[in-house]
Amino acid sequence: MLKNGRKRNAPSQPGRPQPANGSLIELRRVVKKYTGTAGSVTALNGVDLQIGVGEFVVVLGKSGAGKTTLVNMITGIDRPTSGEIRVAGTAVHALGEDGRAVWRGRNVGVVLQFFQLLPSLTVVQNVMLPMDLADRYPIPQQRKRAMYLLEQMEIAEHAHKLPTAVSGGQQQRIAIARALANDPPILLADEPTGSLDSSTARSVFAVFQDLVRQGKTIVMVTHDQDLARQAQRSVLLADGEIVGKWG
Amino acid sequence: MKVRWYKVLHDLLSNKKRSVLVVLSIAVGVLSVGLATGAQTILGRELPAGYLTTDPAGAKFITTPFGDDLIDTIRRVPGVRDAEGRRSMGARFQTGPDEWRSVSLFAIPHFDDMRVNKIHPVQGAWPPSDHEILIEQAAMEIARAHVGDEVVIRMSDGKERRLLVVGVVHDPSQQPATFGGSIYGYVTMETLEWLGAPRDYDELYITADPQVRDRGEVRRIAARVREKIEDSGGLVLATTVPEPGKMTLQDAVDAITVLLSAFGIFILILSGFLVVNTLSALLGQQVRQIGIMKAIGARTSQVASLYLGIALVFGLLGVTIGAPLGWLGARWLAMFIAGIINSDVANLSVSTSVLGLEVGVGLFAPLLAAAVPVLSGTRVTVREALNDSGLGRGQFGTGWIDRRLRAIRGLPSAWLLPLRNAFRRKGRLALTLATLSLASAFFVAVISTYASALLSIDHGFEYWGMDLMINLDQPRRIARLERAASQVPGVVHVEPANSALVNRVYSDGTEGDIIYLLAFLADTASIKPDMVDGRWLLPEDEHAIVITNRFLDMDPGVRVGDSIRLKVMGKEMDWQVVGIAHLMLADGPTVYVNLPYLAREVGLQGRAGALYVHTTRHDAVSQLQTLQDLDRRFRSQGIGISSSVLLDDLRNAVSALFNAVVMILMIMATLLSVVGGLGLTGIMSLNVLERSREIGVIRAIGASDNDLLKVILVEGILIGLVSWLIGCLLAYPLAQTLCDAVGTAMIQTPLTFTFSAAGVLIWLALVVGLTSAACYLPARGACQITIRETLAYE
Repeated sequence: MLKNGRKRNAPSQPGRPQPANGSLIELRRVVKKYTGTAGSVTALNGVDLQIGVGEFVVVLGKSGAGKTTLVNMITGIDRPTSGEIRVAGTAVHALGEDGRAVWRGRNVGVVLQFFQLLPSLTVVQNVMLPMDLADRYPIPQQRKRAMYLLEQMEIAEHAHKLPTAVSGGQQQRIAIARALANDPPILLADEPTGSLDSSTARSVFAVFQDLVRQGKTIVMVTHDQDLARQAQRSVLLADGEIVGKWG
Repeated sequence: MKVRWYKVLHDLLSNKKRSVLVVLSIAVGVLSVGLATGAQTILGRELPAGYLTTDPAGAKFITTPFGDDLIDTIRRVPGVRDAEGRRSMGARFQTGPDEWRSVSLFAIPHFDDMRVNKIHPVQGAWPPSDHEILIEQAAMEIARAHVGDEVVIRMSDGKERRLLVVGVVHDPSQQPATFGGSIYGYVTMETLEWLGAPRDYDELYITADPQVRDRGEVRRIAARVREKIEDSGGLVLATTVPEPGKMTLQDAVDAITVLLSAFGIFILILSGFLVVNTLSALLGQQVRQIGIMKAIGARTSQVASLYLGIALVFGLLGVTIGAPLGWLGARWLAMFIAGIINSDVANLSVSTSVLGLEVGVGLFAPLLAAAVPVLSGTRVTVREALNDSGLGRGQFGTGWIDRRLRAIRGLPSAWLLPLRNAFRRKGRLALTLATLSLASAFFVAVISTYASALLSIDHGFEYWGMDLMINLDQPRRIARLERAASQVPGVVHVEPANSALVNRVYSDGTEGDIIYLLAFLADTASIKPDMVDGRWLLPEDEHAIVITNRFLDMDPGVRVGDSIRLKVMGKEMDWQVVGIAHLMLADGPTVYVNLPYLAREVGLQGRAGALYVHTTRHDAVSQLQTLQDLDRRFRSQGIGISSSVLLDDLRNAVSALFNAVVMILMIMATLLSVVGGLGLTGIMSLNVLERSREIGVIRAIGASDNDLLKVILVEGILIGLVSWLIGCLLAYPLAQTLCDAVGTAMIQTPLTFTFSAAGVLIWLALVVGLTSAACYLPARGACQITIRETLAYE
């Protein structure tokens, strides 16, 4: 749970992009093929998906179903082979690699698999890094905001430790704090609870639920059916296609 | 400070050994550039400036005696700025009990009002009083004298006088005494008269007007001066017109410093290879971190700037260490080179442009080196970066070389593993091999240059068949000389000879540079000329002359069969060129003529001014003993010796010059080896770091510390041996180039080339030692990692 159970006033509120229509995230006929030495593999095969503001969507599926590819399409980490992806009015599929990085830094919070914190930076510095890269706040304010986010995640006392000195659950909270650094409206998390024990996983999931209550839109990939049931909406992927939707 | 720079700081500090190696490597590169270019700048500025403060002579005339009235006349010749008369005398200087060296005594009329070829006081009294002597600073050691000593001067007639050494001076117009073996002394006109010389002058020095910078123009002025001398009833025996403003050995200094600068820049480039390897490795290790940064919004340029920032910090630290050392080194090297050529460096300040160059190249070279790996490493897409497993890089087995290596069978695994490991990172291996191979090539090339220099000296001295040369007080009857010499124990044979300084007279009446004319018997055993065209002299030759390669340096157009006119002792004589000989070691243009013919032409039939002596034993002690015995015998018979040269002294002087040059080159080759060693240590550290997990596996299946040490040391030594082989192949053409450059700079002719097998073997031993030392630290580091740590390493 987030500290105080509700959102406090953040030190600053960056401007938010507004969706062009009712959907904050919209995927149209998205196809992604990977070509390797073993031949061509279709990871996503004509996926259509709309996600509205403030939704908490869980993406389910077996290993190799295309879950991570789907999240990578929305975050701009990867480009579709064909199809369109619009997030908060931005045609992400049309942006170049650097353009997507800049856009992502300002508009999307990403929680990667296995936490993916920079081992050479302290906890607070990891959280400050997206603000630094996006040039969003002056340095003192970056630190203040990072500490605020760490307090929200209830790990402020570990702020000056290196990531390797804290537990897996705490590392995941740091990753979430980092994803929130630039106060993005959208949070995408790729199996954030995959490497956590069930109790820690539940606590991390609770954090996401709190964020949704604060107005964030969250897309989360998971294997965990129990957690998925607690989300507002679930999307089931199989062989690169959406084969089921709930909620 | 922005958060991203904390990452740079951490990356620099997280592997201190690696950072230290890179910084040291850059520092050595900066030091090399600073050392070479700094010395070049100091010498380029100070040597000509210092030389010009002496008001060097534009022309020197050796004449029949003249007085002050002629000097006043010459000062009024158009184009002449000033003129000064001096007298010089050859004598012998006692350097020990019964040990004598040649001394050139210069009588200067007005020490406090020198106009040309000024000498500067260095120590002691100035000016000298009567019966006192000042000694040139470079001659103090061979004179074995100190200020305050009383020294004995023996004139050619055998008379001895005592002079008090009252001071030390610097005379930049003279060739360093250490090269020629002759002492230079400076006395008053009265002292020289007391020593037995006439009071009038026999040398005239002039300086040309400041606007005259062309040698041809100075020659025209010299021709006008010559006319005035002859109008006054005098005779010009020889004229020298040196290149205006150019000091002795200036070309040699320029060539050596340019060579050093090239070395320095080359070392810096090689030090950049370690930056490339290190940053490639760092980027390889941090692919996932790059992906994370990009995933949270970093642009490629932002990521690239972080790694270029690391290169910049490496460069900054390298400059911080290397630039001051380069500054100190440049001062030392400038003083060392100036010392060799007996020049003073008044101002040792290294110009800001050199410091700017050091800082510029120290920062720019690592950035340039880092640019390729950084730009390719940071261009990775987020998905590729996040999917990077750390495998697939530096894997063995896919390339042509790998397949060949795989075919090798029967080797124990302790040899097979390092052999294959060495080729896993082929790009890194290529850069390390390039560094070490070039270090090998330069080292062997420098040793070969030294061997070639020694061989050239041997060849040069093969020219001389005698053991000592004696110049007599005056031309003496040859029969009398032979009789007197034959009574001296140890003397096998003596040969008469004559020498003179002559000038070529061109068809337009102008005169060329000084030429050394040597007159021998045609069947001489004292010199062994190396004929490259035409023939040697025959006993019946009259107008025949043999010219040398050094003569052709001055007048390249002359061929066998041509006729040339020379002014010999004031008399113009025509000669037919019958042959061209190659001289390895010579001070300047040299020609040979038949002694009997020349003696007859100048009225000295049956007489000789010099004697070349062949002794039973050829070592320095025997040569000196024979000279002392000859001296005693000749004096007892009233024959004076004005100067003498032992062949062994001459060899030592020439060797000293080459040793100094080779020592400077060896410093640069050593710096190159240091960079090579640092590069290898760097690559082995990176290899060990990247293979930590593999090392853990090897240890987990039972490898001992010794097994690990062996695998890593064998890999390093293998790289060293391959570099040795490549280096030796490269060394051959490089050594030839170096021998040509050094030879041309020092003796105006390429060295006799020999490829040093000893150098090849010495470097083999050194490379094994160097690579073992370079691998030891990384190998020890690998042994200290626990299995748990290695398997956890990411």
